[in-house]
Amino acid sequence: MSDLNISLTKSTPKVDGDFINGTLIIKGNCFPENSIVFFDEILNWMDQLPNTLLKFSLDCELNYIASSSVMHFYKLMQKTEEIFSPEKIEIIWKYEEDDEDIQNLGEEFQKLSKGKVNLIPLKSN
Amino acid sequence: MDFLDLCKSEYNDSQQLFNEEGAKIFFTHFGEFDSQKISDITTKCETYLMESGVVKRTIKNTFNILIEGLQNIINHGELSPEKKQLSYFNIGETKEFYVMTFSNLILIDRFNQIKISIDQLNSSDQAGIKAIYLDTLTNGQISAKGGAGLGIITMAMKSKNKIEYQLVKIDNELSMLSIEVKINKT
Repeated sequence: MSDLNISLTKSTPKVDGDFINGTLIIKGNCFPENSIVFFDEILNWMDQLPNTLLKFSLDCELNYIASSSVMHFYKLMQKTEEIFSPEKIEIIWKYEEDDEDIQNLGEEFQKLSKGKVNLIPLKSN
Repeated sequence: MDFLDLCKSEYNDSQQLFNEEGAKIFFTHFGEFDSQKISDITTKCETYLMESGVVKRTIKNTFNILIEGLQNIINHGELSPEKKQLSYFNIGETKEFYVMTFSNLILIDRFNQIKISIDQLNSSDQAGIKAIYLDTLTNGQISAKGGAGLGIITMAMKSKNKIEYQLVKIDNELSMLSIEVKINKT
């Protein structure tokens, strides 16, 4: 299994998956041309993660996110919960301190996720 | 009038809103549209609004509605008899609102379901719309084109105004569905 690296574009986030350390970092805009194709690559990478990892961290810092991608993020969290027990999962949800949309979305995921979701406000640009 | 002229006529009518005093169109488009142009048009619009001194909250809401509206055109627009994805959009302002109109071809028999969805959103308050959003998020399915049924709900959430819609028959199978989404300036 190898790490996952997807480059940043105007409409898609930079994605870095480190399978040894069990981290998946997603940062940028997320309104891909075809959300299924974009997220399939991430989900397929996750399918290969060994559930023997001591922890798995999903670290998200999003700016704009299309509604279709919101659902894929929800599926991503469900996938995490399929592979790992809740105590092994940490979701870090970063948002600009004045960005209510991304904050509210993080709060919804906090309610829906069985794992721990840390909401982290960042200084606004 | 032929098919293209009828569509063009609808596009021209859609711009009447921006003829009133104090109104202005920022960006407009008629004809074929593809997904690669979405990031260009949304970025241009964001830059334009920033340079115009519009508050960040309004810019974010406008950007989000634009993404949903333009992706809707790509994901749900039917092809014309000439196999073209004819559509139009207008982004502009009136005295009271920032206004976005999006239009694409649909099969006439699809309209009833769309009408039910929009009417349900228009008759709901923000809490009700949020409940519909969460229900769709947790129980909805992602379509083959990547849509999730959240687009129109997201537009209603960001707009905080009723979504206006209009269906105009173009031929025996296809109609132009136009939706108008507004954001209060203050």
